[in-house]
Amino acid sequence: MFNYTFQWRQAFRTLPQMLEGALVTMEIAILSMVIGVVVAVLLAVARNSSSRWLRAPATAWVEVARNTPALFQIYMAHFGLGSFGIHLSPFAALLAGITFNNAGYLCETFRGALRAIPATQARAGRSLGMGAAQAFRMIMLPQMFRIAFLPTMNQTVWAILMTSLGVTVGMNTDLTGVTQDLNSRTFRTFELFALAAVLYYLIAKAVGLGARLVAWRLFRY
Amino acid sequence: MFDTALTLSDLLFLAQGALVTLAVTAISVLAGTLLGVVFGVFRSNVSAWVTFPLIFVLDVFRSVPLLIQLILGNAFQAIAGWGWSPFVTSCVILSLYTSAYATEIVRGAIEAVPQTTRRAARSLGLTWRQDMANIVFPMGLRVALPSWIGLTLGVMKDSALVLWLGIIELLRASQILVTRLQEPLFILSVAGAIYFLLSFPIARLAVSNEGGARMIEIENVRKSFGPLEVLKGVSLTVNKGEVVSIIGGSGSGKSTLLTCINGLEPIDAGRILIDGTEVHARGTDLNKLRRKVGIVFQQWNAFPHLTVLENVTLAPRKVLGMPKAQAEEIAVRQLTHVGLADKLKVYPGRLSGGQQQRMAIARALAMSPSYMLFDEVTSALDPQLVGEVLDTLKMLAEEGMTMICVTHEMGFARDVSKRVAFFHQGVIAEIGPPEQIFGAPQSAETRKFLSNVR
Repeated sequence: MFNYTFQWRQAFRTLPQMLEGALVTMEIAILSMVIGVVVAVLLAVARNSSSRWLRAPATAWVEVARNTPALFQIYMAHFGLGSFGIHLSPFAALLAGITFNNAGYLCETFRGALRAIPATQARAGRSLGMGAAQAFRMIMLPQMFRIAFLPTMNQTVWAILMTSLGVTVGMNTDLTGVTQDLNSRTFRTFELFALAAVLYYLIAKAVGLGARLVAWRLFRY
Repeated sequence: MFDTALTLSDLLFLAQGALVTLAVTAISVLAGTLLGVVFGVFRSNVSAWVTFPLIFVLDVFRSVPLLIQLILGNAFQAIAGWGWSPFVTSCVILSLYTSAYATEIVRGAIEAVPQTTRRAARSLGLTWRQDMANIVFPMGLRVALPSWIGLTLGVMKDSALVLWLGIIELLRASQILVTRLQEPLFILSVAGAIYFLLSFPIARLAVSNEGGARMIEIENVRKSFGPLEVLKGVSLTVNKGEVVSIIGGSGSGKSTLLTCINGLEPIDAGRILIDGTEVHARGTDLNKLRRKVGIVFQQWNAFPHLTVLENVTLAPRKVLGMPKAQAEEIAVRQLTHVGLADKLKVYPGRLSGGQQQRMAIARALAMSPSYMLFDEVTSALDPQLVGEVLDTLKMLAEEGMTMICVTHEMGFARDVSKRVAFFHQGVIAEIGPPEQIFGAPQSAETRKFLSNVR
């Protein structure tokens, strides 16, 4: 047992490449969140709409996103769309898959936040002479923001962890992809992936800590 | 596009993959849950200084991508020379991953059991172990179950990643078929559908179990007093946290319905369920059920021979058998809540109608009911006293109390309720959000009634 010499020095020499990969990981996670939030708001509006033609596809999106593996969703974007002659690059497929997943989960978060604010709040705003849009923006939105903030940050951490799946569709520029690339050349699997694990941990913790700081600063009431 | 049909052997291949997925999931969830219970009990009973290393390691399992964990675990067992098969490695890593989440669920469930309940159990002489087994476990299980089902489904979806170690589970099986048959969209959709079918019904079940059983369901209730049929088939469902107002003319059956809900009046047909228990079924413990449902009447029925504090502590002490000190603690809290903190030692005769009505509300709240029924609680009050009682009701509604209010105060019904039901001649003539009932009533009766009260 353990007649294996760990070669940490060699692994550490790859740190600059890995950090570059970590940047790509963050880039994908942030992009997928920004697009995901926009799509989720549209989905939430569609799911609350009275038209069946809007409600049904939005509901299908949310249920598929929540009831199938994220890896399946990425495979769909990468291999599945091939049936339509659409061939996405690993980057685009990964981004599409994670965004699809984010939007599905965030839609429910936003819908929950909307439901949690009593309608009397908007009416109180209106009674002070605010317009409907103004009351929504100045009374409802800030309160919804608070309720949805931490779940959204949780989803961001999930998005970061999900980017690691890109390697299964040939992604080789994000943190996991870079690590796998180095691994196939040096075969120091344990050292390299342990280093990657530390980086993922630090990124995830930084996001979590940042979110808590922002929440503490913003939500004083 | 879908001209390549899957042959039977292809389908069997997919089914085999699905079985591997289920096996990995079942093993990991079982082992992970067992570990999670041990860790969770340890965490919530031992100081954080001691459990810090455990907390840290579990946190790592939640903050590093599962794929990296699988690769690391596999590399480690190779280095250590354990010679584990990919299947064993996958199950071990997934179990640890599951246990990290299970620990949090267990801890949350333990902490959801109020300290006072546990202290009560210990004061009865239960040992720590008996307290855990008889109080904490059954109460916590209820809290933990929905999250645990969510975790199980999450692990099933995450188990797709074990394909990286060469295991042919559902997703990998479909991928192999794709390379052979070149119909990616179709075959992947089949795999997705299998995942969906495995996950969706259980996810739905968990959600309905969580909120579904906790409500009042009134199904086609009929009730006659002699030849006069007061309720002619009333159906209404009130969800947890919802405020429903019932409006309508006198004699339309509004108040009768409330007295039927908590079983004060028998019904002739239909049924009423509270949290899934049928109120009028034989064998239902009505007294126990009524503790869940507080009711306040038009006439506040203060007990004149008891002080305000005694009025409120009476039922908790005599019905729930609460010790005097605890009952008074609760009573003072509820009375403060309704703004009567300075009237504890006063006899009800010295209070105004509005104050007496607020005392009646505190009296009902002291039993910690899940539901509150209000039967025209402001009708017998002088107009200048109505406001203070309505404010109390509003406060309760904002705190998330589930309420059914029979009322003549249209302003109140409009502002506070989530839905308004208009009763007319023993049936619900119209029900909907207040904007609909007051803004755009659908039925002629509603319009007529509203034009008269305004």
